[in-house]
Amino acid sequence: MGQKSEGTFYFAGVDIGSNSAKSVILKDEQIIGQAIVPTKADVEKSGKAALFAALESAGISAEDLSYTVATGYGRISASYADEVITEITCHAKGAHYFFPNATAIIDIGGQDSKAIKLDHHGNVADFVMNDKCAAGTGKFLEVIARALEVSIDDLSLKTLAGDFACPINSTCAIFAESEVISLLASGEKEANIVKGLHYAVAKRVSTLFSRIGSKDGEKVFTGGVAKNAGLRSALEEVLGTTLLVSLVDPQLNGAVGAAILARTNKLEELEYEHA
Amino acid sequence: MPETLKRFEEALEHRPGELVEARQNGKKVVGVFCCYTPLEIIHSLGLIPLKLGWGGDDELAEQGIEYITNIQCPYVRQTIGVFKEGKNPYAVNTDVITISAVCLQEYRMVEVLRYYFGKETLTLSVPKNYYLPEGKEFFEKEVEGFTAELEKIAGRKLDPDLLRASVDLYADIRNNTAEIYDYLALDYSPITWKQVITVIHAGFYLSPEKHLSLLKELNSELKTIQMSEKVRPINSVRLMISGSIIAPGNTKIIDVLEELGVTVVADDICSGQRTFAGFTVKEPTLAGLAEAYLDRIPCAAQLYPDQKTDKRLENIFRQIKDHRADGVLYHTLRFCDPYTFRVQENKELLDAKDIPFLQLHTDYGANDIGQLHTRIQAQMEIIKRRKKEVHHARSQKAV
Repeated sequence: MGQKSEGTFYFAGVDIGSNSAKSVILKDEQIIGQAIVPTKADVEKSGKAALFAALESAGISAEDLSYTVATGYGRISASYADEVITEITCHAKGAHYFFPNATAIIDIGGQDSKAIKLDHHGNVADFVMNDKCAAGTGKFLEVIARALEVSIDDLSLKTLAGDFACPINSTCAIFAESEVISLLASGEKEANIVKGLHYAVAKRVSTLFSRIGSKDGEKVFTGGVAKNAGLRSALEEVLGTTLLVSLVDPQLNGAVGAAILARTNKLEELEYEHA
Repeated sequence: MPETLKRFEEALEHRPGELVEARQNGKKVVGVFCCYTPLEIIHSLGLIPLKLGWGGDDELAEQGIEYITNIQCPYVRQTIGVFKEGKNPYAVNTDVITISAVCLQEYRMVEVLRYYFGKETLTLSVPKNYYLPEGKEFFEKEVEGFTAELEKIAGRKLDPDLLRASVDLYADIRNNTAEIYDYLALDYSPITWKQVITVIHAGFYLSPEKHLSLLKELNSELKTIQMSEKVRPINSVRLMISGSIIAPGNTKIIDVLEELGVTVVADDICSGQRTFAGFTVKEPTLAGLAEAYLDRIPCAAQLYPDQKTDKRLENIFRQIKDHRADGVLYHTLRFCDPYTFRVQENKELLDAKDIPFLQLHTDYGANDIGQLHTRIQAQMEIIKRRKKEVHHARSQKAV
């Protein structure tokens, strides 16, 4: 049990966010399965659903797993996990896995955004998270997309058609929504509004970033919002730096980190038992 | 849990009744806000001092919005809410309210209590230039004037011998509290930080004589408690709490810390360690008291002209060392500007010494508990990893 064939180990990471639950399966250090499912009212079930979908895509079963780490806000109800680790530590490990030279991460998820400073081993040196409101998070973009009656994917594309960033004063999801509506009413081009919104989020997130004081080295952009090219370029401009985004879905970054930690911690445990 | 803590609880249960009776017999109760008011003077005049101010209840804090706005200090809002509600036995039984004016919001709160609740109030001005001879002189005069007002309320003059006795009594309380607090420096303390704070807060309400006798009792008991080793020190996370007031009733952060298994080993909160630490009355006179109170470890609302002689920072660093804290948890109450202004300064100073620093900015609402959990837990992960690395490096060396 916990091992499909002699010498092969499988590890799982499950990241239950406010918006979606993500899971990644590792065979040693290689990603062999992944899944993203929406988070529903039952957080425990959502995490399990992600895990089982990832197991299915890897072609193995839960019994094959050696160790599972749960993270994200739903980590508190994850009976299926062997260990629970915060998303801060997991994101650091995930980003380090894809970009070994990374020195800092910006992660924008469904209901929070964070800046994490890394040491050379992918350990967290420092971190800052947003306040308890949704300003500058995926939730904010969702609310705006709804006000503009476009999908979240289209929101990203719309920026490309904008010729200037219309100034948006509010990053509060509620106030920004009414600001957008009045801008539309005054005849402002939709694409310019979207571009302005992306700058508003970028500025908000950049203040988080400045607080961790990371100057040199590679910066990584993770979380579901990292898929938004419009926001990414706005952030790059505001920060004056290039942001790396992994080819594997950046939304999976936390789950990847959780799976890596599952492996590290299990191996450490085995080593300890042998010693 | 030390048995004596139950005796503190019992004493507190009887206290409201005692106050009612004392007032019926003509005694006056003086409510004290902030920590620059010499309690010794109040006590020596035969008045009953109570330290007031409450936290941790969002609903009561909401009630304060009727008089100030919701973008002001929740501690101040709640304290106004407590007076408005009129159920708290200590608020109800207060005849006169005094404030040593250091924090502007708290000062305004006392004005609200005067205007809207008709409370008699007395202000002791505290100079911002407390470190200069002019500031000291000013405060000495303030204390004299303040005492003259208290004499009117008490209907008698200050007696030097009684003042001396009160000074000795409060010094004894501080020393006994310090002795209890020092246990927190140990690997396995027989008393938790939360319990130490409860013991300190009991003194806000109990008569100083009763408080002292209970503190002594607790001290003798603590000496007899043998601790079994539960958690290996390498796996424990020892934090110091710094920052804004954590007033009686506010257990929000400590509850999360306890749930996560963090050991709080020190604090420098005005409602905690700073009630007794860094304090010596050189002579039992008004001038002596003025000097001692003004020279105490200052609130962040005071000015610190020089970082090198800043006693608040010195107190933080000394405690980190003496109590072997793995990191500092810097709590800022929403809209508490004095402490929030200093976040970056504190962080940089601690970073320079490689001491992990985490700011928690919060109020009395429950809606950010999940986020507090994540932040504290992430900080614990950082600390545990570092401790493991240090431990590993040491054992490698040993081999």
